[in-house]
Amino acid sequence: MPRPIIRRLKPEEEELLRKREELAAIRATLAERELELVDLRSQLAAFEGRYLRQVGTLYAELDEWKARISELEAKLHPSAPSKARAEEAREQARQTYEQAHGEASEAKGFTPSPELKRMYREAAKRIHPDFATDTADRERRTRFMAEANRAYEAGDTEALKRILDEYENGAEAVTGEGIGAELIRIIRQISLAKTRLSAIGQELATLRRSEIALLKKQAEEIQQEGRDLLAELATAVREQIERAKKRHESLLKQERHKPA
Amino acid sequence: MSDESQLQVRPKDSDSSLSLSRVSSGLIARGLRDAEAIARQVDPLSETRRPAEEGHAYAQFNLGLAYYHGQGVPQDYVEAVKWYRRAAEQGCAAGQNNLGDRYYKGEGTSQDYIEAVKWFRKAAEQGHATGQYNLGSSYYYGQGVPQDYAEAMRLYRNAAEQGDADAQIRLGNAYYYGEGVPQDYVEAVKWYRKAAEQGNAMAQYNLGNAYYYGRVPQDCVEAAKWYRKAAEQGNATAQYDLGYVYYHGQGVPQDYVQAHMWMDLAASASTGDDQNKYSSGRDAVAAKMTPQQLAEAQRLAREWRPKTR
Repeated sequence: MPRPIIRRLKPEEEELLRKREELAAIRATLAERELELVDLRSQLAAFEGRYLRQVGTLYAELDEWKARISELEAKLHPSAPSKARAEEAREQARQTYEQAHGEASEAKGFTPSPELKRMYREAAKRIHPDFATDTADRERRTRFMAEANRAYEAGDTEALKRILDEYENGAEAVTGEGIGAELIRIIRQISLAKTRLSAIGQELATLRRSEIALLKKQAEEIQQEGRDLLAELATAVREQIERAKKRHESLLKQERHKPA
Repeated sequence: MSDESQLQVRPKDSDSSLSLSRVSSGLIARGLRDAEAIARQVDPLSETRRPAEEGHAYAQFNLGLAYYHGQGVPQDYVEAVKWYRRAAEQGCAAGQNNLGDRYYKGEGTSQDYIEAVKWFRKAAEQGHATGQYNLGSSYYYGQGVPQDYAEAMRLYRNAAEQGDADAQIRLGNAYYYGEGVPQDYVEAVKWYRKAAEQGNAMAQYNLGNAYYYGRVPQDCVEAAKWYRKAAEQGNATAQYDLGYVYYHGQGVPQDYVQAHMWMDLAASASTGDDQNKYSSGRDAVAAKMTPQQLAEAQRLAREWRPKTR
């Protein structure tokens, strides 16, 4: 067995090796964080959808009754302020309806399988636009990454695999470049990845502070007690609706009894 | 490189990542507020229900109160009667009075004046002011007992001396009109004033009348002052009379705009004969006003809101 030839590495070659290792590590971290972000956003969107369907639609119903009450009151006691209140209530009812029945209300539940998560990590590591070598490469990566995100959010493991394969097949052959050029490229990639990492950190923090995240947290806390926050919220709003209906009914009677 | 294609993986700025919650932010903030209220109070009555079931009279009374007013539970008169009765049977005077009141009004049970009097009496005998007032009214109207003004006044006085505003007015009226007691305007005004100072609009109006008609040394400034207090709470008669003193400049500087505004409010708060009387008074004032004054008076009336005490 021939003895392996051990060649002493030049300093720039040693630096390149170190930087390659650093890049590989940061790729793995970045993929993990991208996954965390996409998961959080999907979870929040799914929870928001559930909230809007279960509770938001009831708020819309409540605001509709409130608007009808204000309109009746304006009719019973005509004045500029009562007319303004009625118009305000009507506008509120319209906005609540739009929010409760809008696109956001259609978001459905999301539970990614371990396989799907593994595939996404792999895709993010390889495709992430921050590891592009040039503008054309960046565009291509951005396009593939967007597709990968969509496939992940749709929970489509097969599609994700296909996207990854396609990306790999089309990958440009490593172009011959000198050690210096490669070193510069890797340093730039690391720097871009670090910028992205801190942006992800900020985004995660902002998302976790968002109203929907706070509501979700409350729902989870209350679930520990075996309670269902959204169901309790729905009951509370339904009670408000019943009260509003009664108020509306009594106003209708007043309207009929009002002396000519 | 197009920014749009990049949005999926990298939002242009951190804000766009929030689009999911920003779209319906108002609606989510609302749920969050209501959820916080729900999370805070597990069962708003849990602290009351347990001692009530264990037999504590005061908790039983409070639970009855919660059911009667629908506070923290759906309103339920039958449940209210059940808990008032348990408290009453243990000797809780407030429970006895409220149980009597349910019989009197036929809420959560069939109407029964005799049963009402029985519970009012138990509360009254314990010195409960409202119980004394209610028993007094039963004697006054002869409901569940033979009518007896003297007994009614005795009970009203007991309650009035404990500070019950309704009893103070009843007693004031009795002295004013000489009902069950010798007529005595000084006594009448004394009791009206006690209730008026507690913010009772009817007493304020009656006190105003006593000053206006000189039942005590006549004083139109005092009369206008008390009419105003009652009028500001929405008492229609007081509103008309306040308008009237503005029209004639009695106790206040003459002011047709104020006169019209208060008479207009009185008319719109009344029905039938009262309304006819108030609106013809108002129209008589209007006949003396410029269109600008009239418009101003109507604006003031539109923007007027009753003062809650």
